Amino acid sequence: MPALAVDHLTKRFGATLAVDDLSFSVEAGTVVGFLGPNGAGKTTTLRALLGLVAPDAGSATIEGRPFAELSDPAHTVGAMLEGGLQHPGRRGRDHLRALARAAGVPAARVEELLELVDLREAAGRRAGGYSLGMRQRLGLATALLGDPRVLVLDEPANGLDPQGIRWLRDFLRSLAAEGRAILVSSHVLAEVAQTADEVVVIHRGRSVAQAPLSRLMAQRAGGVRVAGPDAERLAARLRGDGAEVVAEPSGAVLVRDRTGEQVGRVVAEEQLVISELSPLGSSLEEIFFELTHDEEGAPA
Amino acid sequence: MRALIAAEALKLRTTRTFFALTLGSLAVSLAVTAAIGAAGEVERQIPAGRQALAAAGIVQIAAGILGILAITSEFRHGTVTPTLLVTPDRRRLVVAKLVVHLLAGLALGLLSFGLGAAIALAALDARGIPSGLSGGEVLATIAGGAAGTALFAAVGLGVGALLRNQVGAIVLTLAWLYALEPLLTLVPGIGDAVKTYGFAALSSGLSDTAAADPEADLLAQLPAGVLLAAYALVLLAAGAAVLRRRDIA
Repeated sequence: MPALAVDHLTKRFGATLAVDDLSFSVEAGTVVGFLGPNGAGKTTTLRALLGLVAPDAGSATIEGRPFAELSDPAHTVGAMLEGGLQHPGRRGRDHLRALARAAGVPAARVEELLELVDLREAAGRRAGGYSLGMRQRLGLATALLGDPRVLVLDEPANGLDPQGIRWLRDFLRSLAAEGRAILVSSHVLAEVAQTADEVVVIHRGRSVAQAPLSRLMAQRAGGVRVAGPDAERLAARLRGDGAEVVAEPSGAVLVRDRTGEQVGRVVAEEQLVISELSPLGSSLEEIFFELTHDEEGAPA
Repeated sequence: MRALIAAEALKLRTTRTFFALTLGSLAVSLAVTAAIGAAGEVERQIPAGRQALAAAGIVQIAAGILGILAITSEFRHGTVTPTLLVTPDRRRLVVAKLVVHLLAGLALGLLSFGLGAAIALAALDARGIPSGLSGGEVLATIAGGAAGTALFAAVGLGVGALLRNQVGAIVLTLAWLYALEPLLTLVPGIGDAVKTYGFAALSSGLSDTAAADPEADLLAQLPAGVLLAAYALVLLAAGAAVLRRRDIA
C-alpha cells in the first residue's frame, strides 16, 4: 500500500475543473516532486489529500484511508500549505504551542522544532513581522510537529535563501531516508530536481507525466533537430527504423529517440545533404515547459 | 477533548485583539455604569440599581465579537488549515471553541456586572438614592448578566461559523443589534414581540436590568436565559453544519 495515493481524483469549483481524473502515488521512503505551473491544480490536490476539500469523484488517501478517517492524523501526516498560514498577531512560539496542544504533542517538541528551523530567537515575536522565509520555516515546523510518517509540502522553498534551499533539500532527503513519504509541490522544476526520486507533472488538473526524473529526461530531452534539403528523406528512413520523428512546418525534423551520432551515421550511409544537426534543448526547464504549455490546436 | 479546549484557550489569549476587546469593553462598561450611578437621571418606576446596571451589559457586544472572531479569524488568516490538520473533526473544533468562549464570556460578564454593581451601588448610595435592590436581587443580576455575556459569545460563534467572512459577520451583527432590532420594535404588530424576544430584550430580561423602553414587557430571568440559549444553539448547529460541508480552499 502506498503511503499516499490519489486515485482518479476530480474536483470542480463552480465551472472550473481544478483537478481532472488525476492519479499518482507516493511510496514510503521516497520524495516525489509534484510539479505544474501556477493554477495547474496542485494545491487543490493537496487540499483533497488533507481532507480540506471534498473530491467530486475519485479519492485521495493517506496510508489507505481518507484523511478524515485517520485515527491519529497529527502523527500520520504533517503538511504545510501556502507558506504556513499563521495569525499575524500571534507569536511564532504560541502558534506552534496551540497546535501542539491540540495534537497531543509535548511542549518540549515545540522548542526542539524552533531550534531545528532556526527560529528560536524570533519565536517570541508576532508572526506578522516575519519575513516570507521565516513564515515558511515556521510552517515547516508546524508540519513536523507530530513527527509524521507522511509529509505534504506546498512550495516549501518559496522565500528561502540559497542556503535555506540547500538545507531543506538535505533535510527532506534525510527524512525520506528514515522511511517517510514526502510529497513536495513546486512550480519550478529545478527546485525539486535534486531532491525528488520521482516527479508527477500536472497541467490543467491532469497528469502529464509520472516518472523518475532521469527517465523523464531521457524520454523528453533526447534527440536532435535536423534541417536541410534531405531532411524529409532522412525522416522517412528513420521512421522505417522505428524512430520517433516529428516534422516541423519549416521542413526541419525532430528525431526524438536517437543521438546525434546515430543520426549522423544514417546521414553518411545514405549520403544525404543536411545543413544542420543539433541536439535538442535538454534543460529541465525546457522539458517542463514542453510538458506544460498549451500547444496550438491541442485539446486543453 | 481537554487537549483541544486547552489549545483553543491558548489561541484565544495569545492575540492582542482578545485583550483589546475584553479590557476595552470592560473599561467602557464600568465607566458608563459609574456615570449613571453617580449622575444619571433616575426613572421613578424602575429601581435605580437596575437602571445603572443595564450599562454593564456593554461587554456582551465584545463577547459576541470575540465569538465571531473565533472562527472568522481562522479563515481570514488561513490558520483554519493547520487547525483542521490536527483536528479534522470540525464539530469537535466548534465545541472546543464554544467551551472556551462560554468560559471567557462568563468571566467577562462576572467582572462587568460584579464590579459594576459594586461601583453603581456605592455611587447611588453616595447620592442618597436607594438602589431598590435586595442583596439577593443584586446577585441574581450579576449571575444573569454573566450568563448573558457567555451566551452572546456563543451566538457570535454561531454567526461566525455560518458566515465565515469576518468583516461581514461583525457588520451584520452590529447592524442587527443597533439598527435593525431597534427599528423592528417600531413596526406595528411585531414591535411588541421584538421588545420581549429580541436579543436586547433577552439580555435585559436575563440580567433583570432596565430595558431601553421602560414600558417593555421583559421575560423573567430563567425563560430569557433559556430562549437566548436556544437562539445560540440554533445558530451554532447551523454554523457547524455549514462548516462541516465547506471546502477549505
